[in-house]
Formats: sequence, structure tokens, C-alpha cells
Amino acid sequence: MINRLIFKGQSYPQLVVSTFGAFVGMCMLLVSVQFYVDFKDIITHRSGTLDPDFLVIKKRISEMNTLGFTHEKFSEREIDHIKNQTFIEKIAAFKSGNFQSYAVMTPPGAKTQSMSTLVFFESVPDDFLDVENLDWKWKEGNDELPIIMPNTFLDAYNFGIANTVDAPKISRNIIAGLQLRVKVSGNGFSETYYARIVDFTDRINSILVPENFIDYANDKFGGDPAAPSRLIIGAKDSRDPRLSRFLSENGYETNQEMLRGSMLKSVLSVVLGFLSVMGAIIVMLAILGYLQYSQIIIYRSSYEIQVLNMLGYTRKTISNRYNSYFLKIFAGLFIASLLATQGAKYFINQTVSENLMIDLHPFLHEWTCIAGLSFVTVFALCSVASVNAQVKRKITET
Amino acid sequence: MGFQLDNVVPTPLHDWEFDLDSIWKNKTSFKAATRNILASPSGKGKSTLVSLLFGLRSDYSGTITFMGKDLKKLKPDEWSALRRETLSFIHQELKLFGQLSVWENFEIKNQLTWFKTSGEIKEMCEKLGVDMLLHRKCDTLSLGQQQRVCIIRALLQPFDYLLMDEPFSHLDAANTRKAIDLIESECGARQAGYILTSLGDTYGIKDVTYHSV
Repeated sequence: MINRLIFKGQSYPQLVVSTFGAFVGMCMLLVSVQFYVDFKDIITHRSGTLDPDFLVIKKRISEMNTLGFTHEKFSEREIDHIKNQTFIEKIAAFKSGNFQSYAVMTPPGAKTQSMSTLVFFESVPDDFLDVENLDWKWKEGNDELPIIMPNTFLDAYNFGIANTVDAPKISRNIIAGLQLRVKVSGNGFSETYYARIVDFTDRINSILVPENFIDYANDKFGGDPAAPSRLIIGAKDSRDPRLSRFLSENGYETNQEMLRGSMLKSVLSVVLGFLSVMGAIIVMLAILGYLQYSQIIIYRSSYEIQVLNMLGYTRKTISNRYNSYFLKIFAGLFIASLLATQGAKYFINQTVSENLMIDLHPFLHEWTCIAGLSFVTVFALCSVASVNAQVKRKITET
Repeated sequence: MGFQLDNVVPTPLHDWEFDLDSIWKNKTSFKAATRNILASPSGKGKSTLVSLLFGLRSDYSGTITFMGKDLKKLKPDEWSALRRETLSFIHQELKLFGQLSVWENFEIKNQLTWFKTSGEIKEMCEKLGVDMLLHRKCDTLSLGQQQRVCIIRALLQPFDYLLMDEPFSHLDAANTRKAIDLIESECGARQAGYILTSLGDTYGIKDVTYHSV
């Protein structure tokens, strides 16, 4: 009965418009938060591409190398020189396997057919990798050998070979189950290892094994270790112009892929930033819409509010009627926008899974829910504050 | 321990000259459980007084206390509590909810304290002759009918003091008599006092204190 009095000035069109605006704005915000989280997920899957602060550098191969005037290897002095630059955080040399090795692979499902190929292993210190895989370790005497593959190998298969011969694409999970035998030999010795691909990277375009395996195998099967021809550097900021100037002055080349990754990162950041700013603006307008709507209802029920207060109804009783009404709307809005964002995420996941072969987490990230909840809380606080102030004003106007 | 007025002057009347026996700019008291009539021509501040006493206005100088408390120091929630339990008011402008039925107007007041049962409310309606109107919307009633509804609504709560601002202005003599009888018996049951403003009529009420405005 009281609600009939104090909501007599309802105008549904404005409520619908505000709610629709708030819904659209919230969805834009939540989608951009969720997509940002997913995007970071993709970064960790495809580290090198999207994390540009690690660069692999090598010397430019020119006619001079071929003629033997300059060397494509890095000397100790050169490495120290690079290390001493202020914009370089850390540096390490690639260690190459100095022994013979070939791999035999049995594809899943194939009983007899197997492929074998010569392989070349390299390693870099663990802190240059983004691998958080517990399997990434090797001990002497251990016949299981973890391997990190470059993503480009998998991409070459999925988008090249698989497309051409109409074979199914292989996901990372499937490849992790592949049986792979690696035979290492040299100096009259030979050993066989069961290799397992534990992760993929874009950062380094080589087949990687743990550093202590390279040390062990070089020692046992190889000759003298050669000077490194490639270095991996951790730059403080790869966009630092001094870095590119330094690299070109010294005739070093870097992995172009990573610079493209840097581009992709900025473009995506701009798109997501734009989306979230637009979302925030729409949400803000929607909040204003709600505030104005509540002002109109309260204004149109001025007389009723004043008389109710005269009869003994407290300010709080009256305000709470309005507040619970709006809080219900906001709660509905929160749930609806989460559901809609979950729907959007489903399509994003499908696209990512088809094109990048990455399976993202199927449900919304907690940050998305927290972001939604905090916006709804801001809604609620603004609305409660405004309603309370207006009911107070109406009552003191008597 | 009723109302005490000490040197009170409403702001709109601050430059007026008052008679020596006026309630304004004077020491006046409306003692508990007493009948008081303020009779004067209009424009002297009768409505202003009851509005001040009911807390609808606070634009005055001087001090008003009720049951020892300074009215200006009461918080909004304390006013609400007073209006539910201690003070009742019949507004000159009636202040009914026109879009609600007569019965709903009663309910909205009664549900604050559940002071009266439905049967008691109906009984009061019969006494004032509005029992046939319970389901009519208030804005379809005549002013006289509305005024009687308003009187009954004011009686649906406990109170120590009933403030009435020209409560019979739209009633004929017979209906006024019935209303006064009802009010007298309800105030008697509560051992409550009242203040009644009128344009000069004293309605033949006995044991009453007259105040000059």
C-alpha cells in the first residue's frame, strides 16, 4: 500500500531505457575485463609473441661471414658489452647440443608408422622461460626428457600440413601425449630417452631441453663447447629506442615476431581500453538516468512522503522502500550482465580454440565478477545516497 | 508536563505587537491531560502554533518544550516516534491519500501501532456516519466526509496530546457534536489532553482553558 503511494510517479520508459543502458554498459565493461584476462591467458600460452621484453638476438649474416672476415659467434667481450648497457636487465647465451641426436615419433593412433628426424637441441637458463611446468626438470640417470617446442612448429603443422593433406589439427593437449624417442650419440656412446613435450613457446625458435641435460650430453657425447651464436636478452622495456639503436649499430638482428607481438599487444590494449572506457561512460550515464528517475518518482510523490512522515513513518522506512526497489533492479542487472558476458565468452572461447588451438577456461574469471560486483556496488551506493538525501529534503520541506 | 512556550515568536510574526495575554512572546503552558481552545479570527497564528507543536515548522524564536524536551533539539526519528505514540494531529488541510480508499487510509495509520482493531475502527466510523464509505476513494468524498475520516484516522494511535487545527470547519452542528463526543471519549480513555483551534466557536465544551492568540 505504501509502495502504491510513493511509486505513483513511475514512468516505465525511462526505467527501461536506463536499465537497458546500464545493461549494455555493464556488458561492455565485463567483456573487456574478461577478454583482458583471457588475453593474458593467451600471453602465457604464447609467451614470446605477446611478451616483447624478451628478445633473441643474433648477428646479421652477411657476405663478410661467408668470406670468413667476421664471426657469427658472440665473444665473451661482446656479451659483457651488451650486459653493461643500462636498458638490458639480463642476458644469457644459448647452449647448443654438440652431439648427434634424432627423434622417432609415433603419432597417436598409428600402430606401426613412425617418423624419425634429426633434431637439434638448445637450452637457455630457466629464468628466460615462462614455463611454470613442474615436469620441466631433468636429473642425470633420468630417462624421461622434457622438451619445449616452438609454437611455430605446431603452427606449421596445423595451418600448413594439416590443411594441405586435410588431416585433423592437433591441440597442445594431444601433442603432450605423443610418444617420442630421442637417441643421443657421439664419442662412441649412445643413449635413448623418452621425450615428452611439456610446453610450447614463441619466445625461442628452437627445441629446448633443460640446461643440465645439454651440459651433461655435451660433456659425454660432444666435443668442445662452441661460442654462442644467439643470445637471449631481457630488456627493461623493449620499446626503448636506445635498444633498437644499440642493436642496429652493432649489427645485431632480433626476432621480428616479437616486435609484431608488441604491436599486437598495443592494438589489443587500445581496443580493450576503448571498449572499457565506452562501457564506463555508458554505465555512468545509466547511473545518472537512475538517479534522475528516482528523483522524478520522489518528486511526484512529495505529498505522500510528507504525509507519511506526518503520520509517524520514519525517513528510513520510506527511503528503504525506494532503496530495496532499486537494489532489486541492480541485482537483476548484475546477474543478467554476468550471464550475457558468459555467453560472449563462450563465443570468444570457440574462436580462440579454433584459431589458436588454445582452450581457455570455460567460465568467467573471478576478476570479471568482482568488476561487475564493484560497479553494481557503486550503482547501489550512488542510488542509496541520492534517495536518502531526496527523501530527507522532501520531509524537511514541509 | 504538557507543552511549555517561553517567549516564542514565529519568524513571520517577529515584528508584530502582541496583546499581554497572547500566547506569543509570553510564558504559556498547555498542561498534560487538559482541554485547550485557541479561538481567534484567522491570520493570528493558530495554525502556526499547532504546526510548531507538531514539528512541521521550526521557524520561531524562544523555546518550546514538550514533556521537558526542547522541540528544536528533537531528531527526525524522535519526531516520528512522537507522531506514532505521543502526539496526534488533525490537519486543517486534511492530508488524506486521495488515491486510496477510506479503509486504506485508516490502515496506513493503524498499522504503525495496531492500536485499534478493525471492529473498533468500524465502530468509530458508524458513530461519525462514514461506515458506508469505507471502500470509496478519498478524493471522491465531500469535504465534510473527508474531515470525519481525518478525525477518525487521528484517533488510530496512542497519544498524550491531540492537536486539532479547525477540525470541524466543514461539519454541520450535528456532525460536529458527534465528532466532539468521539474525541472526548477517546481522549478520556487515553487520559490525554488536546488543543483545538477555531475561528471563535467554543462548541460548548466544558472544563476548557481558553487561550488568546
